[in-house]
Amino acid sequence: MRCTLIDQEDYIQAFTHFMRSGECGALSGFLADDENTDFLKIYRNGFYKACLSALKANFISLTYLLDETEFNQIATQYINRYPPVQATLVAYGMAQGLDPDIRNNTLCFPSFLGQLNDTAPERDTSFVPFLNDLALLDQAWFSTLNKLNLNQVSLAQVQLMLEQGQDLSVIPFKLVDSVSLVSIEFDVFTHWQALRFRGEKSDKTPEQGIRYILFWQCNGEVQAKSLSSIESHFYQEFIKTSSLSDALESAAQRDDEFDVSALFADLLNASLLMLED
Amino acid sequence: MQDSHLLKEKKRDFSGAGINLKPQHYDEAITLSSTNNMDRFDDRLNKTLWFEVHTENYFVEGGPRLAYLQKIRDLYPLSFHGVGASLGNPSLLTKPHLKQVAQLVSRFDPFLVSEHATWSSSQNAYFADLLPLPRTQNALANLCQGIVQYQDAIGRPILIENPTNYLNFVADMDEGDFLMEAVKRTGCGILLDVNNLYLSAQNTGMDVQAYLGALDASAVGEIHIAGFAIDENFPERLLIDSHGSPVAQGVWQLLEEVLTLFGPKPVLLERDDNVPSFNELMSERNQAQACLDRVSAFMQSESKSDTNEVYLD
Repeated sequence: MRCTLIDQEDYIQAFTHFMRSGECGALSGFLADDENTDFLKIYRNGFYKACLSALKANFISLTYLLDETEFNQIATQYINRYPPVQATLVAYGMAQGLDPDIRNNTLCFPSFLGQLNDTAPERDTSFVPFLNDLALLDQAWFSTLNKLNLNQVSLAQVQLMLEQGQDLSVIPFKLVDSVSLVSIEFDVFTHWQALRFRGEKSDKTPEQGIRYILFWQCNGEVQAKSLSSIESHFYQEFIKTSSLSDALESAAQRDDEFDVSALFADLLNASLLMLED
Repeated sequence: MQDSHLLKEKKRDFSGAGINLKPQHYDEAITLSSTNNMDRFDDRLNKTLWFEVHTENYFVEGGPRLAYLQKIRDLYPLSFHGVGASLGNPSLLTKPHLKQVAQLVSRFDPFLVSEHATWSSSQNAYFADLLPLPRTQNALANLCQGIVQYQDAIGRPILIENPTNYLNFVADMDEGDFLMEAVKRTGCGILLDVNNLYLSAQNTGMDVQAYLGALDASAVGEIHIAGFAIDENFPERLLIDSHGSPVAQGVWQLLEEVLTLFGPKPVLLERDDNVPSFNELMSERNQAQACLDRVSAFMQSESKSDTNEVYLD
């Protein structure tokens, strides 16, 4: 056994360079004399295998749409460009839970797919222009499922408030914490549901046009629905102002036929409201 | 809640055999202890079965994952096994990571918390694998710093696991001595992964007997066993720590040897790939329990025979 004073920082840098590039020249000085540097590949393979497996689990609809080689090719580009910046793969590829400083230095997988869209050669007919929309829906589903969802207001609670003569317009209702409002550029919601939950591809090409999908958690399960134009306006306002009455008023101003009572009942029935602390 | 748990756990035999719990087995693990399954969940199982989870898989705010973990925690002893702390090279990712570990440890109060004597993060990137450390004084100092940081964050000592070695790096000391020095400097314990030790011996010619001889029995707080794979490119030379197959005969033999040497310890069956049915895992786990039972019985008989000899003298 040789006694050595190697610099730990140099070692980590050499290994990091190998993990990022596959070049192991700088590491050979840290290996015992007769070691086969090909064996180092085990570590790099382990890294890619784990990251690919996490992206497959997190963006499951894409794995049903693309064949394995296609998915792996795109995912490997992403791993090379944006390796995990948190020491867990639970939400790898997703925007959620990242510190603002870290978020600025990375890109979530849906945004990366959006960039691929922008740079895809025009004649590349194999490229699917709505991959990032599907990834956004997978991301929202995951994020909603793993949110803490406390203090939901029930219909019975509201009935009690009314019996006690409380003015509901001054009660500080807000949307439950699990709510996620997703804007997509293609009408892929039904397509996404078929892929994600049944593994079925659709033959129809989705229409282009902005759509809003609302995700929330109810009784431990994720709910999702495609919103009408006025509903999406209401939810955007509600999220922006954190005020139910302002959002209702804004929606009523936009559409004379907007039924405030019906929407309020929908919110309660779907367990979408909570009381501000 | 905590008191009743502690009371319950004191009655348990913590030298039992456990399984690393996968989400697909949550329901079966929970229903195993229900009254409908009392024929399967006998008193012996009740006293010995425990579960381990990868700590980082529970870095979520809420949802079913944490709810299930709480149910498991209400029924069985639970252990947390970390894979992402990069103890050998604490980085910018470490602080937020440890905050999340500490929250989970505080909430679930696992009976063991463990990590690896490896590194996995640098330059704001997480390499999602257990990367080797050169066994030098510098590396040891870094590792100890990482262990102390971790232990300070969660307010209790941890166990550190020996890595699988695929090739030899420059080294000032043997791995057993390296780990024991970390134990002495930080107050941590050792999670001895028998499969890793077996593979290290096969892959790099590590001397198993010398390795075990360097370890202090009282420092070993947990033992892991798992299955391995033969490398496709170097089938004669490399065995991979895949956790994707049943435990090999050679590893079972080494487990028995280790338990005989160090005495009964909590033994965990790891399976992360090609995960079979819960029943299949339980029967493999029962094999580990039988090994523990044999060793316990042997040690008791040895202890009695020692007493007799003293008496006769």
